[in-house]
Amino acid sequence: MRCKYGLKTEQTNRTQPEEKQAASAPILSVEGLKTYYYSNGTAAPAVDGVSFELHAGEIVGIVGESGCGKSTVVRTLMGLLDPISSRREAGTARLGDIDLFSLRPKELCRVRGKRIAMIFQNPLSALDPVYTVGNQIMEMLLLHEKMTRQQARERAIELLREVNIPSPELRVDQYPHELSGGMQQRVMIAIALACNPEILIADEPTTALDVTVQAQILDLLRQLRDRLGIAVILITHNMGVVAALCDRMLVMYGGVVVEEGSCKEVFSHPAHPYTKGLLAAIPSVAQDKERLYTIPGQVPVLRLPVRMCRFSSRCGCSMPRCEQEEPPLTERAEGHWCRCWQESGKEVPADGENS
Amino acid sequence: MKRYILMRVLKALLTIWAVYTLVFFLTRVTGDPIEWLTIAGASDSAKETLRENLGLDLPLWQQYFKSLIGLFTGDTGTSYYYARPVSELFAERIGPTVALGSIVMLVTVLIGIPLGVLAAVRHNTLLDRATMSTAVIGSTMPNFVLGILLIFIFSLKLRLLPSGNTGTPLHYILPVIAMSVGPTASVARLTRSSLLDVIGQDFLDCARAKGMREWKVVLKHGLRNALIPVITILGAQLSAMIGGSVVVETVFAWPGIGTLIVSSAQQRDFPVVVFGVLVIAASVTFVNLLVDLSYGLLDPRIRNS
Amino acid sequence: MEKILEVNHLNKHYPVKKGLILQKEIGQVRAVNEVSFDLFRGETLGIIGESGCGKSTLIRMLIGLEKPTSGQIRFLGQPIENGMSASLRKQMQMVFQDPYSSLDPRMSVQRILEEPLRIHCKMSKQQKEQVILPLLGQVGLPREALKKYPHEFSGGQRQRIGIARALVLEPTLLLCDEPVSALDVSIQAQILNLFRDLQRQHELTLLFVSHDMSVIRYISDRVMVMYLGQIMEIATKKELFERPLHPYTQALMRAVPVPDPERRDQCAVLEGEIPSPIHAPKGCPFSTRCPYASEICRQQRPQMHRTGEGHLTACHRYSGEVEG
Repeated sequence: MRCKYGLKTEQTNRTQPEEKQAASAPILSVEGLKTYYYSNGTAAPAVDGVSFELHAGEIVGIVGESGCGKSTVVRTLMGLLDPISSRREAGTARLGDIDLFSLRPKELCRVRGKRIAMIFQNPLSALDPVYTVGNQIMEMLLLHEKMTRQQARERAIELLREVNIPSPELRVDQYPHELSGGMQQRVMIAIALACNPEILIADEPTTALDVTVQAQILDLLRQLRDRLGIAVILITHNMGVVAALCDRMLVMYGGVVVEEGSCKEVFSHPAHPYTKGLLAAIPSVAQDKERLYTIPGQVPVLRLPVRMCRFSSRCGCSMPRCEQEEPPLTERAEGHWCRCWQESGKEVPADGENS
Repeated sequence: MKRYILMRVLKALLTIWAVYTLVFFLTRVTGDPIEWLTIAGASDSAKETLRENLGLDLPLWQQYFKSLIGLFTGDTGTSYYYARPVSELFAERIGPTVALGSIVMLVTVLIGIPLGVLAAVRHNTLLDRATMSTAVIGSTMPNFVLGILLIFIFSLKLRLLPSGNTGTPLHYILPVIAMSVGPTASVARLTRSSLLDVIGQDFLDCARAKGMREWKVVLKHGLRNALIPVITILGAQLSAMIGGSVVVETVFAWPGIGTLIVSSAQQRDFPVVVFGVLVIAASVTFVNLLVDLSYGLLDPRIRNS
Repeated sequence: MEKILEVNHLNKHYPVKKGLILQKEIGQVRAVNEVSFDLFRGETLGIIGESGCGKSTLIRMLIGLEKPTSGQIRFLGQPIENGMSASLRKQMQMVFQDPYSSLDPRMSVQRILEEPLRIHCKMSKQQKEQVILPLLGQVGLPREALKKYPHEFSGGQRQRIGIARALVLEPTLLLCDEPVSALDVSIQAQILNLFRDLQRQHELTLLFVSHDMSVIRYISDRVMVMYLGQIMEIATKKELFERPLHPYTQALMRAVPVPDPERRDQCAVLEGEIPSPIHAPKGCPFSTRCPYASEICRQQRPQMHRTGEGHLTACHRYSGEVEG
């Protein structure tokens, strides 16, 4: 059997915990994904070797701060990178029996929207202001399904009803600016669901929304997963949102996954110093904190090739080895992986006496 | 919306009236038309008779109201020089001007917008840079200078194309080039920058994520949103062109309204000049009205507010 | 305790007009409606509310960017609703939400920090440096930062510059409009701690606006909850978070996702949306979404009722208690 601290690198074939493997093969498996940004002739490793799997009906959260590469991962998957400033350097993404990255543009268009749909952070800017919401839902249907305009319109109304929009017959003819932020995000979700995709990518879907509306949208996503069995990749910086919705989570820092595991496991036993720091840095609504823990410094600008732990410059328990060699992802518990040389990292004080 | 249009039309009429009044009085400052209309050494009594016949003996304010009332009753006055109704003169000359203007507008739209789209989609490539540097030169070159240059090269040196007057389609080539290079360049530049702004927006990514082909994304979602500033500049270009046609028509000896107005101004043929300016002012305000109304058609956010 | 700021029955109503030339007033948006509260020296009052709750309009009236429709604001004992003197102005400074747009990109950090001094005091170059240099250290920026320009800094550092600029004139009151909402979690923690440290060092009074309940809990001494331009509840932090009385406050707290997957099920969903301020409900603004709403709630605007020590709640359910 596998040793507890087994090595997990991008090159070795990854195996999932037995019970999951028995339950289902992954519907999406990403291997060794690397995407670099280029400016003035220098390359910045925005995503530098990310691998993960997504199973049917599973909600996986990718969490991290701005610049950690979480959005770049999904933009690479969707083929939405800016071709001038960024490029996918390596990696495969298998959706069933096809590799997303080897598809020709025309084939990719048949996958996008149909098998993988995406919703964006700011619904008002993701909806085209000059077309009605109905038109924008119908557009998706007419692209992928054999339907008449009339059928598509009826289905659009039905979809609006499915995402709990009141009086959908009227809303279908309204323009995005006539709806509230929460309604706009529901419309985005309706568009994404139009062709019954297997995977929904949600890039910060609630960040632009008020907290009571955020709760409604999270609730809607949860219902949709339960009802339709759709798998969700949720990108967020909000640990609370991850905890509220996700089954599994990946914590990213500096373009790599530093910790991965089930939400329950990671929140109760965070292994990586960055995850621990992040959790300790969040003020709590449930209790008073005397002083917040702070992760000192800021995200470093990485130069290639990276030959150190990317977090070492800000880590409270950094060792000489951390600055010479990048640690691999190792398994700390069943399905719980961590990228750190410390076998069981030092505890982070609950109230930050560090600063 | 109907109320809005009505208000705009009223405002437009007010503007046109103001221009009419201004030009009416300004032309009178330029001098006495009688000097032009009579041969040197004509007797004073002959001059006075002519003055009476033309109605120039009346006080200025009477002349003004007479001509204004005439306008409302459909009487545009009589040309001093041609001794024919002004409306008749314009009816003869409007054809070539409208023909030239329409072709120029068509060329501007059909070349300017696609060029701008192409430059935006391929931005920062050689194609983009070449198009845009040409556009800068094009939009800075005054059309009459370009016109003279074209005549010099293609008519005088190469003897390929006629330098002036109308008749065959060949006659259109040089004036159309001279008049459309500037507007086409401006429209191309604006289409490009406006489309580049839109291309950075999330809803294009959203359309791509729906599985829409790239060219359709750019045309359906990109261009329609980018078109509003382009329409504005098109309107401005059309207005400028209507005014500028006076000069270009003169350069190419084009038998249109422009040359008529220029020659009439030289001959102090006031009714023709005043009516000509009126026609130009009316066309410009009409174009601006169309531009404003088209915003509402293009953007529902403007329609509702 | 000394009252730094007294706000009494403050209103800001915007007319809603229709028509092209002769505009008829067809209604009013009550952006801020009958808001009264006091602010005491040295405390931090947190203001929480969702978009459209009037918190930004309130701040803009306090700083003098917007003139109230009616009501009084007294700052350090003097009425300021019709503008304030330069010497008073110095005592009130502001930290903005967006560290990217609130700093002039063409000004060096030194010029940004010296500008308030140039406007308000006559000082030599050395005197200015004597003020600025220690401040720079206090907000955690190196001395070299002075010669740099805003774009050379990260979001967190820019917010530090913004805070330093607000402190240059040694103000009594600092108005903070969502100062950490554009920042990442780890940076947010740094800035929140910085606010706490600076408050102690400079004996500052803070008015801290945020949409994040947990940030408000961390930073505030007292908390004011706003909804559609009105105060729903105001109480000490301890009271408010341990004994929230207003149904809106309760809903707000339950809506915050807690970073603990075990407590997932406690997250309850409040139905409906915030009504448009043009069509604000006649009675209690929350009555359209409130699970306890009765006829009186829909008809009559509730008064502030005293529901505990320093605890006021605008809800008919507590009308039995003494009026505050």
